[in-house]
Formats: sequence, C-alpha cells, structure tokens
Amino acid sequence: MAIESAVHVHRRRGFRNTTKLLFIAPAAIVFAVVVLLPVVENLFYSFTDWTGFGSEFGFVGVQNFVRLLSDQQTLQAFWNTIVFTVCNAPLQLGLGLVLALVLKRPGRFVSVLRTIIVLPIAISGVVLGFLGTVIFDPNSGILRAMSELPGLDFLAQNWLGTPTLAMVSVIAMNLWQWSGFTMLIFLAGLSAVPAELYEAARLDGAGAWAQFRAVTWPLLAPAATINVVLTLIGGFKVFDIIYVLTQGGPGTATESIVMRVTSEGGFARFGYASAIDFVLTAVILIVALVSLALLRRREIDA
Amino acid sequence: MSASIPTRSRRRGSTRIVDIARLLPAIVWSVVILVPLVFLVFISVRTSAAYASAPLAFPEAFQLSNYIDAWNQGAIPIAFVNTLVITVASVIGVVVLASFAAYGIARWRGRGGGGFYVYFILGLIVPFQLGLPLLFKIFAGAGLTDTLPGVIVVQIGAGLPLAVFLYAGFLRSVPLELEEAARIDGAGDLRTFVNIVFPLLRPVTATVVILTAITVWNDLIVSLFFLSTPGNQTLPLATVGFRSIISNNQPVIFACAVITVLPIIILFILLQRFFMSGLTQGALRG
Repeated sequence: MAIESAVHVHRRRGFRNTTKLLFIAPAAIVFAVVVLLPVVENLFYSFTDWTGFGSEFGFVGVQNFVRLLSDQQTLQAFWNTIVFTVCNAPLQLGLGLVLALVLKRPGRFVSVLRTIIVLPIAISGVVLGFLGTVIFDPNSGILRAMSELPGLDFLAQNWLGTPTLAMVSVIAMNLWQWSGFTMLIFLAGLSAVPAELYEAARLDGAGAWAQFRAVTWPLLAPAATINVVLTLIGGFKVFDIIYVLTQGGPGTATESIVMRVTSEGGFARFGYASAIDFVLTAVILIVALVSLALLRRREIDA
Repeated sequence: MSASIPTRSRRRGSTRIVDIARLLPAIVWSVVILVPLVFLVFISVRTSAAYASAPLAFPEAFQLSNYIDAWNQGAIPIAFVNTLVITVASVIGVVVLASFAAYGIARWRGRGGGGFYVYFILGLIVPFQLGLPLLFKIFAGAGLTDTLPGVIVVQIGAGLPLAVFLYAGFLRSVPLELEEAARIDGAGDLRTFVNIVFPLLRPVTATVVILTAITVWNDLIVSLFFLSTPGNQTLPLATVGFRSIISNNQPVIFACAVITVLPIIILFILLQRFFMSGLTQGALRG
C-alpha cells in the first residue's frame, strides 16, 4: 500500500503534460509558420482575385473554382497528374516488391545491390535533368545508341518530344529514382517477419508461392500500406522530375497540377492558382484517407 | 557418410548459380541504375570536341581539367559552403525539434497526443512547395528573405513531418522502464530525454539525418524562391546558373553535376547501414 502510493506520487511528479507541451511547442510552431500558415492563407486567397503582387484584392466568391472547371489547361494538368499517378503506382510498387523479395536475404553481394538500387534517391532534380539528356536525347542518348543494336530499332524515338512517349519517359525516370525507396520499406517490412513462420509453413509442406501467400503477403501489410499511401501522395505532388525532363511539354502533354499552380501564380493570377492548389490538397487528403482506411482494414483482416 | 560430403559441396556450388539466377531482377535493375550514372561521369572527363563527335564513347583520357574549370568558373566554392551550412543547420534543427516533439507526443497521457501526431502528419499530405510564395511574403516582413537562416527555418519546417512520424513510431516501442528508473534516480525530464532516451533513437536519427540531408542538399525550389544574391547561392542554383552561362560545354557542366552529388552520395553510403534499421523501427511500428 505504501509502495503503491509512493509510485503514484512519483508518477504525478514525473513527465507532466505541461512539460510535454514544452517539448512539442517549438516544432509545432515552426511547422505551423512554414507549412500550415501558407496553406490556410492559400485557402483564403482562393476566394479572391489577388494578383500575388501588392495588397489590393477583392472577394470573388467561388468564381475561381468555376473557372477551374472550364479551364482546359487545368483540366488537362489534372488528367496528366492522374495518368502519371495511376500508371506509376503499380509499377513502382510491383518493382519495389520484386526487388525486396529478391534481396531479402542479407549478404555481401546483396547489400551492394541494395545500395546501388537505393542510390538514386540521393540524386538532385538538377542532375536528374542532366541524366535525362544522357538517356533520352534523340541524337546522343543511350536509348538512341542502343537502337543501333539488332532488334532494338524501336528505341530510336524522340522520347521527350512526343506526347505519349514523354509521359512514358517521365514515369520511367521516376521509377529509376524511387523504386529503391519502395524496396527499402518492403525490406523493412520483410525483416519484421519472424523466420519461424516460414519454418512452420515449410513443415506444413508449403511451396514458395504458398509461403508467400500465407506468410509474407499478410505480414507485409503495414509496409504495403505505407508504400501505397506514399506513392499515391508522391504521384499527385509530382513536380521536379517533370520539370527537369520536359518542362511539362511537348505543349502541355506532361504538365502536372503542381506545375500548373506554379505557372498560374507566376502569371499574376494568384487567387486562381490558390483555388487549384486548394482542390489538389483536398484531392490528396481524400485519396490518402480513403486508401489508409481501406488498407488498414486489409491489415486487420490479414 | 563420406559420400555425402562431395554431394553437399556440389550442391553448394549449384546453389550459387541458383542464387545468381534468383538475383537476376536486382542485377538487371542495378545495371539500369548504374549505366546513366557511369556515362555522366565518363562525359565529365572528356573534351567537348570529343563529346560532340562521339557522345557515348569511352573516355579517351581521364582529364580532370573539366572539374577544375567547373570549380573555378561555376562559383562552386561559395555555393558549396552555403549548401553545407544550410544542410548541417537544417539537419540539426530537424533532429532536435522532431525528437523532442515526438517524445512529448509518444509519452502523452490521455487524449491530445494523437491530435498532435495528426497535426504533424498533415505536413506529409499538403504540397508544401505551393505555400512558398506566401511564405516569402511572411518572411520578407521579418527580413529573413535572401538570408541563409531564412532558408534554414523553411527547411526545418518542411522536414519536421516525416521526422516526427519516424521518431514517434519508434518511441512507441521503447519501454518506459529505463526512463522511470532514471526519474527515480532524480533525473529531470530534460536529462532523462537527452541522456537516456535520445541515445536509444540512434537508428531513426540516422534515417532522419540521411533523408533530411538529401532533401536539403539537393533542394532547388526553396533556394530559388528565397536566395537571390550571388554570394548566397546554393549548389543546385549555381549548377543551373552555370549551365545557362556555358550551355555549349556539356562535359564541364557534367563535371559540375558530379561535384554537387558526390558529397551527399558519400554520406549516404556511409550511413546507409543504419538507414534501414531506422526505417524498419520508425515507419512500421507506428
């Protein structure tokens, strides 16, 4: 009894919520100023005709949002972003998963391969643009050089200058940079699967595929959830890779929604740009929450 | 019994080949990763005349003068120092602020902790780059535009969500006993965190350091918005500016590119051993 009350008193003296608040506050304030405040301000300006310069503006109600619905270029940018996200996500997730499964057993050679495959996440957008020239240039690129080999003549294309191929190139470059990160998260998930489970499955006579279905796949669920959500969010926010490879071209064939907001803002239509930004943020939020809810349910089922 | 030994070693020999076959997708993908990087380096040591006549030829001679030219003409030294200062300060800021905040969140008693967690996770969702024009206005009022501290604050704010997410995920699996023992020994909250808890977070700290350092070192868009004076340039800004000056000399530009990525790649290779354990323990336990 005495000991219990001593512990109780101690608990009370321990880490108090007010102290915790002091621990949280500096980060919360910096984050609020840098990230959240501009988002809230954007929301405000999306109902105005502010140019982005000076301090004069008037309220225009939902006019910016109405305009968005009839602006072909903005709708095209939304479409491009969706095409990019929908085509890229399964490829990035599939490739990341295959690479993780292949490289799950540690070893010297395996860790060299892992390092090489993750390496591109350290490459800057600027350098990525240079690599784009090295790979895709119709006169001096690697693909052009490979097209001289027998049977590969289909590689001689104006990769970045043809609408569909430009999108293919952008997705390929995105896979080049990010598949390794997806693989890493899957690897992290795999390393959390206890080896005894495989042992047990093997004793039950499960083959490689059955082991994958019964053990790996269900226990990989948390890693899969994070990967799916990150890949979808990343897809909707795509900017750098497109900017350095095609600047959104040819024409507007690869212009993403973030690029569209940036250029409209630059054209002194800040209110309108804010409206597009607001819609994009809402879309990302909905996609993230829906996919999280669906995937979490799958995690529990499995 | 004795006959089984050669069978065994033969089997081991054949598993080697099976292993290589099994690794084939990873080997092919590694080649896909490496080929463009190798050509980037190859081109960076060739003369522009040689490059023009045969763009993808093996280097005739490894001449490093391109690197010296890039270093001298590209305003690289000052940009290098600026980028280093911004990266180091941002990484320290993110690690300190995020680890403290995540500790407060993970140890919160009652409701509210989850609220703070969601608050930071929102940052992973909103496209933060789109707030930069307004942020520029806010910072201009405080005299922080075109200064390195201004960029550092922006980078810290932008880096916090992922770092808090990883730290908080890891902290949930750290047992309370150690902390309580420290408190019974009379350590205050601050000492308990700094001396007992923070050292336990090392794998996540390595992950946060790598991810933040990569993002900040390679950033173009924040410095594009916030830095205008040549003396304040960062490496990506300097590279872009340099390319527009000598657009005809591809090898020198590529040499400049290699200079800018090399430090971060070295850091990545040094820390990548801890990188995965940090991801495992931070991202998947949340």
